Parts: sequence; C-alpha cells; structure tokens
Amino acid sequence: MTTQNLPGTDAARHGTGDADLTIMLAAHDAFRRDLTRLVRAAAAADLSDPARRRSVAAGWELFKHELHLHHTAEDEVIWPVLRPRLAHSEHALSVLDAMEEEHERIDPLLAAVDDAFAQRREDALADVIDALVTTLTGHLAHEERDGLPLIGVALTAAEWRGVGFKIARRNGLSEGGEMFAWMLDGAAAQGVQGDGAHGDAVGGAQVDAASALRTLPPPLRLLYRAVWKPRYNKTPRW
Amino acid sequence: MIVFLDVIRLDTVTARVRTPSQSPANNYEGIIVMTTTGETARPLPLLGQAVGQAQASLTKLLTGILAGTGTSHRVWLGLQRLNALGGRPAREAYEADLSYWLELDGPAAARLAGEVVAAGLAASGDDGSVALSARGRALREEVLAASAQVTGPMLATIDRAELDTTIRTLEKITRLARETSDTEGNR
Repeated sequence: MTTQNLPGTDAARHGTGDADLTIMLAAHDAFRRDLTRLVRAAAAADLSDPARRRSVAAGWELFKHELHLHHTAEDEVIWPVLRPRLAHSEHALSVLDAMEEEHERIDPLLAAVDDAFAQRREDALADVIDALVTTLTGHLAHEERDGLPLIGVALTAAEWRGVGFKIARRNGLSEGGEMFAWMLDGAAAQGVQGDGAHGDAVGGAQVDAASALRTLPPPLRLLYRAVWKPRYNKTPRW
Repeated sequence: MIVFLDVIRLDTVTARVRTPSQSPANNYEGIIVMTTTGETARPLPLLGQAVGQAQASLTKLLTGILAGTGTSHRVWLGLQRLNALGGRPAREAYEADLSYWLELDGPAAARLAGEVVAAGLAASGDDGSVALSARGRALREEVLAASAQVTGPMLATIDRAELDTTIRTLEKITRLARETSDTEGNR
C-alpha cells in the first residue's frame, strides 16, 4: 500500500507514493495476531495454573510494550513529520488528529485488561478484552484506510526511510531486534528458516515474513536468525 | 570485528630495491619489497586492492548493522575515535584527531564532532572537553556485540594464527604508511 486518494491531499503532494509501508503493516498484523491469542487464552486457559499464567502474562506484556512503542513512534515522530507537509488539507489533518485520539482511547482498555487479569475476574476479563479487540482492530483498520496512505502523500521513499532511522535511534538495536522477532512470530515463513512456531492464520494485511525481512540489510537478517529469534523463542508466550 | 582501516594503495608505492640478504624473497612483512634481480623477481602483491576490498565488504556489514540503530557510518567513526581518545578529550584535540584519522578538513571535523554531540552520543563539557555519554557507550557496546555475532562465525572459518598475523601486518602497514606520509609531508 503506497498510494492514496484522500480529498484535498494531492493539492501539494510531496511524496512520490513509493514509501515502503511493509513494516507498519507487518506490525498491524502482529497486533491482530496477538489479539486473537489473547481472546483464546482468556477463553480456554486455566489461569490458576502458574505456568499458564506466566506464559499468557509474557505474551500480554510484550504485546503492550510493542503497542506502546508503535503508538509512541506514530504520535511523536511520524505524525509530526507529516503535519507540516499536509497543512493544506483539513481532511488529512483531521485524520491525524483522529489517530491520536484513538490511541488515547486504547490506553484505558489496556489498564482494564490488566486489572481483570490481576483480580482473576474471568467474567470481566472477557468483556474488557472484547472492548479492546473492537477498539484496536477498528483503529488499525481506520489507520490503514486513511492514515498510512498519508505517508506516501507527504513523504518520499527516502524521507520515510529517514523517519525509520529516527525511530531506530530512539529504540536501539535490542528493541528493534525484539520487535522483528515479535512481529514475525508465526508469520507466513516464505523463504525464512526456522519460523512458524505458532502457525496462526489471522486476518489483517498479511505481510509475509520474507517481505518484512527484505526491508532489513543482510547483516540484520543474519542477526534475526542467529540472535533475535532464538532469544525471543526462549520465553513461552500465550 | 570492526575494521577501522585506511585504504592504502601500497601497489602505488615506489618499490625499493634490497639485496637478497637483506630481504628474503618470501618476506613481504612491512613495506612491500620487490626484488628486481633476474630470476628471483616477484610481482608486487596488489595489497591496496585486497585491503580496500576487505574494508569495503566489512564496512558494508557494519553499515547494515548501524542501520538498525539509525546511526550513520560517519557518526560511528566519530564515536569510535572519541572512545579511542579515552572518552573525554579536549574538543580541540578531538577535532584534530578526526582531521587526522578521517582525513577531514577543520570545518568538516568540527561538524562531525557536533553531529556526535547532537546525536546524544557525547556531551560538551564546561571545561571544553567532549565526553562520551552513557548513550554513546551503550550504542558502542550494542553495535560491537552485534558485529561480533555477524563476523564471528565468518572469522571462525579462518585459522586463528593467520588472522592474528593479518591483523599485526595490517597494523604495521598502517603505521609505516602514516610515517611515510608524515615524513614526506614535513619535507
């Protein structure tokens, strides 16, 4: 997805429509995948079993961490870079405003799931998870439809890569490695060795692992296989 | 292994002639010696090309790793030099070092020092020093560890003694080339 047709946004287009959004979409896929796992865990797991609780908690904590990094990068790096370029379009700016508002609506839902887990209220857990799934999947779909296309309108591919480097500088290599291992956990493993641990087939943008890995320079792909993924796999999740 | 080499073109260095007693025919340590006496003459090895290609290939690996940290190769070299100077040199000394090792003119060296500070990898002290920051140290450790993961298996296929000899020889060549450059520059 690299182009858009939002009203008014082409009036002063800076972008060339070729910004590579593979990583953004792969991250969205991973959020959807983890929501599916969360629902299954809450429905089927015997949460009184300590090992099971640890495993679900590990999956949930990483999900929250990655969601926080993703939304922080959008709110503090990506949207601020787009705003001046899209200043001519009220519609585009309203989309960015909506993205930030939707992020704010998700935080209390994460806290509600935390509370329900902590109090072992399995009846309440199903309700708050349902609210989280509805809100987050709605937000992801909205962002894919209206938000992400603005990147291709506002930025060239090179400028978008520069934004990626800025986010990488903020997060560091370890966070980046964990993010890739998390993102590609269970992704379709075309051309990728040692993947498919979970084999979930969930909805969403369906970016395959090979496409996501191709966005990395070869040494980082090697690190993914040799270090990041084995380290990620050491912890049971969900 | 992070290689920090200068591309030296010893194949363009004028060969000196020694007698066989001074230089065994198979001794290529240090300045390359090419004997020119009849049957024992050997072609000058294309050392500069080999070193340049090795450097370019290793730099490509390093640049790939640096991409994961959002750090440019230039800023990385600036960080490496800062660490080599003990992590807290006077600004003037740091810029002079950057000029010397990276062959930058004065303004370019000052700009690079500024970039290292602007990236949060170092901080300017009130005493006129430039000090490696915690973030700079962490980045170094992270990149060096990642580089070791990438180059370790590769270098493990090479005999350790050969590797040690190669490193010693390259260090000596670098020193000799620098001395030659400095000597000629002072004439």
